[in-house]
Amino acid sequence: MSKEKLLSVENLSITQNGGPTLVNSVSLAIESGKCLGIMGESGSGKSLTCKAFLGLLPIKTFAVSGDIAFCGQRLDALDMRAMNAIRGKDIAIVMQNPMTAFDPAFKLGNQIIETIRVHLPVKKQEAFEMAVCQLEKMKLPRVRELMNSYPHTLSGGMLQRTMIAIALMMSPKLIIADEATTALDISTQAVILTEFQKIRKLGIAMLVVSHDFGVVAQLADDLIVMKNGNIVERGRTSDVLRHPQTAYTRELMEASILERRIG
Amino acid sequence: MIAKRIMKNKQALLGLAIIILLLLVTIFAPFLAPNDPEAVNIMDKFKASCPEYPLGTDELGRCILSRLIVGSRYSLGIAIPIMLTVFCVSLLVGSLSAYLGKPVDRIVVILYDIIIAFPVIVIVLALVGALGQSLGNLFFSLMLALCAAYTKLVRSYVLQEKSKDYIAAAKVCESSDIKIIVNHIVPNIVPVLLVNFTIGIGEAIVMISGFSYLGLGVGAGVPEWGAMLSNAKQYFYSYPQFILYPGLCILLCVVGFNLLGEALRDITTPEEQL
Amino acid sequence: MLSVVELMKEYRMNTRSGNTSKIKAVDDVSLHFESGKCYALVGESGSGKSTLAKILIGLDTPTQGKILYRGTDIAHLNGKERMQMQRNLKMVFQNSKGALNPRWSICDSIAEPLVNRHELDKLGRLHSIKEYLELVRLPQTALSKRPHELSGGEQTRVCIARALITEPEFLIMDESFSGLDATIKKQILDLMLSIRKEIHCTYLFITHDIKAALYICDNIAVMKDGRIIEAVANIQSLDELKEDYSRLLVDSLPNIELLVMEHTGILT
Repeated sequence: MSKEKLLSVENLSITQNGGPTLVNSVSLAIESGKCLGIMGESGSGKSLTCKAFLGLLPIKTFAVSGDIAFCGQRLDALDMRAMNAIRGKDIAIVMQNPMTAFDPAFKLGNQIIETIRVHLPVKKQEAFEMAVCQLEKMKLPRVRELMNSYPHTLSGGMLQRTMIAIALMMSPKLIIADEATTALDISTQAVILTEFQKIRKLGIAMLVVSHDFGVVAQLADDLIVMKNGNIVERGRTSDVLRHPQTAYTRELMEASILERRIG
Repeated sequence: MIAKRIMKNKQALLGLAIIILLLLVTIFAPFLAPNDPEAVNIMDKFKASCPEYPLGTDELGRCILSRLIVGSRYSLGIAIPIMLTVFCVSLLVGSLSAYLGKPVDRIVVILYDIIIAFPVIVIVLALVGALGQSLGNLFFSLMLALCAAYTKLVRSYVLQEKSKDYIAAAKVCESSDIKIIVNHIVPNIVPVLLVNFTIGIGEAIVMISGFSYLGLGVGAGVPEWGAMLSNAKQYFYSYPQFILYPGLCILLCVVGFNLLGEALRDITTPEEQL
Repeated sequence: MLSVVELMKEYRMNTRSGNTSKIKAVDDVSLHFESGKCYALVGESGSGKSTLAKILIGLDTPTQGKILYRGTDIAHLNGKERMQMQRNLKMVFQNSKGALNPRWSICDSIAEPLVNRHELDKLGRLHSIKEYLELVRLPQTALSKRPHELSGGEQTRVCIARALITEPEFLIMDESFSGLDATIKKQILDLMLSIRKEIHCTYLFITHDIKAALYICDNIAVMKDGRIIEAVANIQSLDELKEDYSRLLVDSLPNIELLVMEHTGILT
């Protein structure tokens, strides 16, 4: 298995225009086929970092500096069109709130087909069949009915799995899961985590961003802990779990475990 | 605190400056007018601008500037009291109706829906026609129409606030209904309402001028801007300035109130939403 | 002390086809709360737990059933009787920011229940407010601030202080720590653990986080689709929950200790 770096980020800094530094010289790397977890609470800068890779931060508000390279290609040097071609196809993102990620005015099927046709030169009917095939592969119930439904009639779990299906259809090299399980019920979270584990088995690289230690620990090979825009700890998940180096990491772990105190 | 934010906003200051200027003119009108606005001097009719008559005279030799200055008393002097009354009545009725719910709410909604169904001009025409033409009847009919419209607005704001968590929390804190309305709901909707009402004053001025233009409300010869506009129709080609002057006055009023009102919209947005 | 007897809450919904259907948000719920103990109600979204909370606290009335507080049925009280009862039943809401009047200072917000009681004068109130501020570990400087100037955790502490200041007998915390970061959540949970020792009160925690429920409580009830699936008193570990749905909730939790062992290769 080649160890080439899929995503390589060096000294990424994000400053709010005329304001504070939100992300301070962050460097990370993801190897192809591996999963990196970014742990942090709100305000740690983890979501901003992800958005920076994808060029989703508006230039008017944020100043981004640093080297971001994907498959050897500099992402920060690309123009809009080139970025659009990569975003959604080679790098797919599954976001936090599936309930608001879809346009409520259109049926799910139409939205899926539209997304497919942006990246792949296929006809509507072909796109439809691709979608049905992928959704059935993921064992979603009553797929054709699902395609014909409006987003608000479906549960968060169904919508999130649909998002994952859309991501997978593009055969991406990297999937970014930005707090993908946070807005869901616990039992649904378990289902989504299982989907992500299946994705890992397919050999697709992943970047999992979460404030929940349990989520990151289940999926990530390597782990980064962020606080206030800085990386406070990094290492292999097993090492960090066994021997957390900083007090902050220990705090986060304790908060996620919530071990019962007797008495 | 709102005053401080008004001071920082240039648009608000400009609007406020215009309004203060107009209010001063309205209050001190008799002292500011160079001549008697009602004095008829047939010998001096259609005079051009001169030291004695700064804006000239109209077809009856009356000083136009004096008429404009005194005319402000009719426009602002009617619009502002009407809107103040409408503000108080609609706030009271709207809040109580929305908060108390059925059956009071149903009755209020039916009443204002009936009134709103008719355009304001129809209501004014009907009532002034029935009760006789006078300033008082114009005042009353306009108030009725506007109260209905603004009660609906207040009610919708109150309904929005009512569903928020802090109102439920206040109930759990043992606050009575009246306390909740007075201490929680009203203070949170008044800033937004101020915007609507400030702009509403501008609209009321236009309405009053409009009705006077049509001959409702003020009597003949009264120096009200709308009436002056109506009078000036016949001299459109020969003396177009007769239309220009009162028109500009109405415009200035509306601009002043709109500037302030729009700026208030920004000022009253709570800091956390900015 | 407080008993819920066969409580049922039904809503009428107009379906797309134009028919009205009845939905039972709370279906035949019976619970008993003893004085001084700590209870947790666990359920996912749509389980009816928030509806139950609103009915208990008096913000809503049940379609059927009774709520017996020291023998009297308080389910359908209104007006003065309700106000007198309210002293003893307090709630901390889910959205702490939304539960505070955005234009009031923190001091005014916490003082509100005392002002309505007319029992203390201004000085007495201030003294009480400072006392409770200390209890929830907030600095005195917070008093003059407005809600948006505080963090989520601090806003929750303010709501807790406001709820406890009238020394209620029953406190409900409805998903009060669900929107908070993990470390802040733990701080608030630890705070509640310490408050439990100082303030004698019956606590009811409503949450979707079964781990947090175990962390803080001795008695857990699991709710689904308006019904109580299972209730275990004096619970020591999550294994004591036996019903299928309860097991589903427990099994959905990532077992960190297990993960550590997997990662380090102890378990293959």
